[in-house]
Amino acid sequence: MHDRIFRALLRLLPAEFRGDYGREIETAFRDERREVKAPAALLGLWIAAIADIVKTAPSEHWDILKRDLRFAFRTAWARPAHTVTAVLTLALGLGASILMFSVVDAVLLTPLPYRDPQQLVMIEEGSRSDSGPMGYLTFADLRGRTRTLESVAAMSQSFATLGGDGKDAEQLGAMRASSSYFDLIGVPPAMGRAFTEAEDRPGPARRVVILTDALWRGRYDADPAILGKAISVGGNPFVVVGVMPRGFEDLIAQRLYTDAQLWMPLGYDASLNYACRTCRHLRVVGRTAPGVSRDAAERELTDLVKGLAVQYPSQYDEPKAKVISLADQLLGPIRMTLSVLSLGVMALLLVACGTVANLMILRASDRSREIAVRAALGVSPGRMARQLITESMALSITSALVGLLPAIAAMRVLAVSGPAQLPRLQHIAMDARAGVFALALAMGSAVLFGLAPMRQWLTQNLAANIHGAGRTTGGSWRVRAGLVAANVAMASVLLVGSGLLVRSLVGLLAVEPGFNPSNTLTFRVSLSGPEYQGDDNAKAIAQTVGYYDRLLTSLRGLPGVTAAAGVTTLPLGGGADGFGFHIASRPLPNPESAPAAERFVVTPGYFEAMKTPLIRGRLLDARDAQSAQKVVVINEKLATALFPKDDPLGQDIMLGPPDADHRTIVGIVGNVAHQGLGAAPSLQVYVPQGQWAWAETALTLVVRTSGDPLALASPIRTVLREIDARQPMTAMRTYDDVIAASTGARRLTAWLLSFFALAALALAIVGLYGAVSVLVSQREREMGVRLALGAGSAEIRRLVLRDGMKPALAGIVSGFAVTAAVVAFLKSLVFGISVFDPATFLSAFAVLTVAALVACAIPASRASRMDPARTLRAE
Amino acid sequence: MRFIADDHLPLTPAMFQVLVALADGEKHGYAIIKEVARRTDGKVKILPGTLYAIIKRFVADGFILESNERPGPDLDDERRRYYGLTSHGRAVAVAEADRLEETLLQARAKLSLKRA
Repeated sequence: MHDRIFRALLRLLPAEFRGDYGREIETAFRDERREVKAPAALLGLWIAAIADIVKTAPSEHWDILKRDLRFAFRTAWARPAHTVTAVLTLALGLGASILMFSVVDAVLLTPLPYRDPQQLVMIEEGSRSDSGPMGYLTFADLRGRTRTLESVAAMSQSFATLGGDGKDAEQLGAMRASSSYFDLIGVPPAMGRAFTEAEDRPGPARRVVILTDALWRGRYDADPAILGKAISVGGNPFVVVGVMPRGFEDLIAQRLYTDAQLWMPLGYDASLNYACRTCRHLRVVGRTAPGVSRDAAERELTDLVKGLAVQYPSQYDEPKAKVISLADQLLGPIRMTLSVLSLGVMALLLVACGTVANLMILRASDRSREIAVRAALGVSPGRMARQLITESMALSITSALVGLLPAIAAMRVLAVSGPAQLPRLQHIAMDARAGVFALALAMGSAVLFGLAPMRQWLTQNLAANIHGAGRTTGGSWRVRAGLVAANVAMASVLLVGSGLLVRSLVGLLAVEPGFNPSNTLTFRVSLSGPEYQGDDNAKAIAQTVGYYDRLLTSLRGLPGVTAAAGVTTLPLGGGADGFGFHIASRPLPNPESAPAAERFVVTPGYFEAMKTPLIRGRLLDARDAQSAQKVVVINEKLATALFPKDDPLGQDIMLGPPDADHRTIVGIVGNVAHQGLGAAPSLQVYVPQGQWAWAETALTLVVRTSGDPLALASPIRTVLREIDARQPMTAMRTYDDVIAASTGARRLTAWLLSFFALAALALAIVGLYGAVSVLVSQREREMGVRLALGAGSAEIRRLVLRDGMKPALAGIVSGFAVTAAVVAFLKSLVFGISVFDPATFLSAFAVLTVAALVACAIPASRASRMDPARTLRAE
Repeated sequence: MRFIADDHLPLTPAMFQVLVALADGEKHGYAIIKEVARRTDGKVKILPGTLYAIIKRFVADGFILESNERPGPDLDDERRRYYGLTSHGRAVAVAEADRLEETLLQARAKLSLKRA
């Protein structure tokens, strides 16, 4: 019993040491035990013995490791070309994987910056056709009745023009939120307090504001006495009641509300005309009660809105509630992109491992004599395996370190200039988590690429090798050919995948957006000041129209400007305003079942500036003033969808509620890509600026030029200052940049995946070339005999080509089979083509086959030119 | 290459005791353990794991040798291997003893000086 336990304890020691001294240690311990009689003394002996072995084992292992490492580095040093190739290959795969991990970690895996974020949900109000924002009264009713949600808050977009403090006026994104918001997210202000319920109502009390730490430090110089002070927001005094903690990034504010830097109370009640049930513009965030699932909350809220629909039948159309986890809402869209890239990186790493495994097998046959000698000297297979594992680990960890350098450089670049679609990119860094991942990955890779050569090592014909006459057996070629085939297969998967994405991107960029973005500069102006926001709506509209009229006249007078106009939401610029579209001649039993159309308020000359073609009727111009007959222009899609039989021109329509003003359709223009180049055209309605129900003070201006649009930046600033220096300008970009930003994540995915594919292809093909070259040199004698016996060089060439192309074709075919099985995964990223796009598959097949043929042809032609006499003499 | 004993100093107390234990003749492992315990009145206790780690190192460094000569069959135990000191081992033990002595003298001199 004692002996068995002690023997088990000895297993902590390295096998080599145990083999040499294990039995003696055991004997010595037994002798000592025999001399001890008292149980307490026996216990003491055992404790001492355990401590002794536990203390000895690590230093003995370390000793062996040091020896093995020294040996590994000596052998690596002796074959520099081989070592550098292996390290660089593996560094490519490991570096790319570490980079990808850091991105995924920062963007997806880091918890949202809120208390218990898994309890946070977004709640959408759904109808028969879709789901989205909620009307205030629905929100208020749900808030009062829900039992599954601990807390809810409604939010809306706002903009704040800061000024009145002697500094340049500046417009920032802002967010309005219910007073419960900060309590709900579980992050209170670092200074001051959150909003009170009394501030969350219409009236002067709601003029309070909470700032981000960055804004407080930047614009207000970290004024320690800022709490209680009034700052000028849009020309009105707002009292600062709080400053959020330093480093707090409200992803809701950033992702849903154009990088909001200020929070203001929502300040709604039932008396406001835009607080109606059908005024669906509020986003709602909630926190589920402990233990309540998302599904349970969704069921309860759906029941509640269904109840509301019974109470107010004309305000809802088959309503339901949709409850989405906040993480899905904020990060969902990019999860797909990052998953595809992660898979791509993994495939690249596997190819790198396959390539290195092949190199290691070759070296194992080079070293067969050394192995045989060591085996003959009594080194156990286990000990040799340990040596090999150490070599693989050393190679792998060195490669990871080499790969880290470009990975860290790429992290820095991405942190500063990554695509805006990826949130929290600024946090990517080589931190402890990435370090642990890198180490684990390096060790995992070492096992992957170390296995095949180990098998090769341990099963060689030792007796033959010791005499130097060992030949690599057919088995070795089979293993190497298998690795080559696996690599070619991975490369085919990546090549087809990236081919589909690149073709999608090219197709997407070739989409006619319905306007001409070239030579166009865009920027945003948001008017603030009492004259634009007064209680007198008609006057505010007149003042707003007057301002933009003056601005556009001045802009059109600038040298090089060929057209200028403004619009509420710029196509492809993000955001949209949806309104119910009612046809006067076709009243609906439930007005809520009216389709929603995107509404754009535009200045005269908008279509000319955008070069959106007129299909029929007329465009909007200066005639369509505030006092004139109310008119609209619709897009082709709306015309065909809602007026399939009758002529839309001359028809009266209402936007918003069915009792809104009648507007006559006077023209039909082409469809404009608004939500994305790849998005299906939506129903679109254009309303003249003077004729909308309220003053649209914030417009994006579009200035078309005959030359470089950016050359206009400075003259435009001068014009803006001359007209009204209080009004800041933001987001000045060329339209090409707007489009590039809208396709940023897609571009990144396509280019990165292409890079992975090309790298994998290069590795796979070079690997094939290497394997066939070695095969030729190993079969020199056989070929020499064949040549001597009269075989033609063409026959030899065919022989080599056949042997080399077999694994290549097997790889291509199995790669295509794998691709076909998994390609549906890419569906949401592919645009305009099928995921089985024959052109992509055929091109990938052609590229792979030609590359493989070239890789085999070079050694084949060398083999066919060999001199049989010399080869045979050498034997 | 000339052997310089000082290059291998200092030794750990356990290492030193092992070399000393072998100074008067070959011994097997357990005998070394016993010898050290006896000579130091049980103050230095070497355990088997530590002992054989030291033996492994000393064999590799050439300080001790596994003996081919076995004691008489009545005393022999087949399981045991006997180890003897080599001239290098003896030189290292002597050098370590000198080093310890010098350390001791210096310490004594300084301490008694202070007392005075």
